[in-house]
Amino acid sequence: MNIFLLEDDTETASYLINGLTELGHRVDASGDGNTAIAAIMARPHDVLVLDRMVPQRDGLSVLKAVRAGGCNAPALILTARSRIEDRVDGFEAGADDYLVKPFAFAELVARLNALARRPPPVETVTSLRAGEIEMDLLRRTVHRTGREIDLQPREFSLLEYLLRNAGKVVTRTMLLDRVWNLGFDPRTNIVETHVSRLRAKLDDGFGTGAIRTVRGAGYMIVDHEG
Amino acid sequence: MPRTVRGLAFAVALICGVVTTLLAIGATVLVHRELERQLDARIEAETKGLLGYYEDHGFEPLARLIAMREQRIGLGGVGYLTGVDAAGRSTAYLLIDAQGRRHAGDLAAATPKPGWSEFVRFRRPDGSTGVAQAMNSTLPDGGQLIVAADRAVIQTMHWTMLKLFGVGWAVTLLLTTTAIIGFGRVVRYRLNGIETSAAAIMAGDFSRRMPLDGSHGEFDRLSLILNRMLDRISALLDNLRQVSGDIAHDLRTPLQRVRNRLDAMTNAATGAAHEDQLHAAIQDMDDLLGLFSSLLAISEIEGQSIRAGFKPVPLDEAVGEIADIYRPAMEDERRAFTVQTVPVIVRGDRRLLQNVVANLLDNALLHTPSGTPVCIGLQHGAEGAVLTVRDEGPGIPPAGHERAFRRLTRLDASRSTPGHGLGLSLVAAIVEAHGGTVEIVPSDTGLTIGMVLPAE
Repeated sequence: MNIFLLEDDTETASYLINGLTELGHRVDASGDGNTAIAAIMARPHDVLVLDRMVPQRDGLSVLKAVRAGGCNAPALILTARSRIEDRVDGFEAGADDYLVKPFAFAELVARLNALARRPPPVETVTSLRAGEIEMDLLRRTVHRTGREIDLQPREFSLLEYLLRNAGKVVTRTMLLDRVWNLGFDPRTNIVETHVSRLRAKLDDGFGTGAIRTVRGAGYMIVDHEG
Repeated sequence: MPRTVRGLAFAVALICGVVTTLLAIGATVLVHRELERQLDARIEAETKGLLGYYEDHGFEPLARLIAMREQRIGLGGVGYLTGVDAAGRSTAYLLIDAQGRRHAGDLAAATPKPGWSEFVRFRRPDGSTGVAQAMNSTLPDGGQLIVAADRAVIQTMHWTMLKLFGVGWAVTLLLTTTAIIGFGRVVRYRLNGIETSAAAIMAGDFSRRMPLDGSHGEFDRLSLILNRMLDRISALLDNLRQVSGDIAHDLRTPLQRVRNRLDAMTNAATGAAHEDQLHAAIQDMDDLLGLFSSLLAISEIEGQSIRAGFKPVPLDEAVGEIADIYRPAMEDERRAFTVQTVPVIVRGDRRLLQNVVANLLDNALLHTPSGTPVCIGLQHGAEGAVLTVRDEGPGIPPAGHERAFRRLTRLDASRSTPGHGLGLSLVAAIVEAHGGTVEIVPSDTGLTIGMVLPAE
């Protein structure tokens, strides 16, 4: 996909550009706000990655400017601060996601994939499917190869989020943020506990695991037939 | 308002002086008026009496009466003006016939004009000169009757008043000055005490405090509040000093570990072992970054700018959600996990309040053995919502209760359990930012963290 990166620290920028290019993405980058606006408006991008603190115009101001100019590509704001107001400011400026520095590269990639694959705003999907697993969003039921699996509401939301991002890595912090709406990272392995419970229910009686662990990154539900 | 004690003293003395003077002038004017009125009334009464006598008996009998009267008055018969002149006389008469000859009376003065005269100069029987108030009434046959009263009484009154108020003024001045000097001394003495202590503190004696005399007066209260401020500052300083030391100490170990791993990787073979070291190094770095994030989070929360975003939060729901999230972990460790809440609304930040509960549950999971019961309680209390998180684990000895909320404090000296020792400091920072209080509730067994949050 076409990614635009606004980052003034050259070392971080080249690390991100190299990493993203290796994954097959095309990256346009700029180190200051004004050239960033020109570059974003010059050609369409699938996703924008904007550092909040850059010279001249900061990331939020750039985002406001390009949103006003008609650009509606999903945007992820990078920031060194985790303040609640910053987060709110970011979403008000039109950001779709928010990542606090320092972050793991895998975390950024997972979030960019989630952003680029975001379903259209109007929700018409009533069922989700990945591999053997089928979820009915209206009747709130889950089946694996036709056998019904009884899930708790929180397990259901967890599985729903994984299914919506099927085939993509979902990180621990994404789950904390999106499934449980927690703005902090617990010191205990709460996420692992929930995932292993869900796994136990999904895999009971089946030979293969429905949810894959991606080491150093997160979890993924496998999206292939059979 | 004067801003110095000297200025204040001067202003008070000035005001006292002006007020005393005004009072003196006012009193003098009032007494003066009253005395003049009385003189006039007396002259009028005398004149009226004498004229009546003239009408009844004629000119010559009047002359005789006047002569008689002058003798009687000489004995002080009209007693309400005493000591007016040397002869004890205050009233004089003069009777003049139509031809202008003096027939009776000894008023030693030029004949005043008909009607009232205010200041008639006359010679007293003892030879001194005086000023008199006089009324000249023309008789039907062309003669004149003059009744005069010595104004000396008024002058005497003026002197008396002047002396009286002179003494009064002097006494007032003396008292005010003494009071002000005394007051100034006390103020300066107390301020000197505060100044000396402040200078000593600035010079580095941080244990020095403002002097107290136990009087609970204004200065004691000022000193007391300054001492409380100093206690707070010194606690913060101690905390800062401790935290900087602890950070340096806490960072050395994991950094050393990362360094060792990287070192090992430079000469280790490639393959799975290599990758394990790499992941372990990343894990160590994540721990370090986590430590920094927690420290930053605490200072952000203590910065208090977060209050602007506070909204009403149904605390029971917020707590319930966290409890649901933690329930599987509790069940996996076969812990009895009970949650008893009542509906309470507090003003705050939902995520931060949830973070408090999550932190305490993390602590219970990390620091008590599997199977240890954990319970959350939320009730209404006298001062707001009372939130408690209790576990039946080993607890914290009372000596450690105060230290437990300090940053980077880990009460198990071995530092073998995971964590940075920031959980309870974060809890304390969040609760305090919400205007609440947090403490370790003393109990014989287990550990109960009790919080009071102001309810809406």
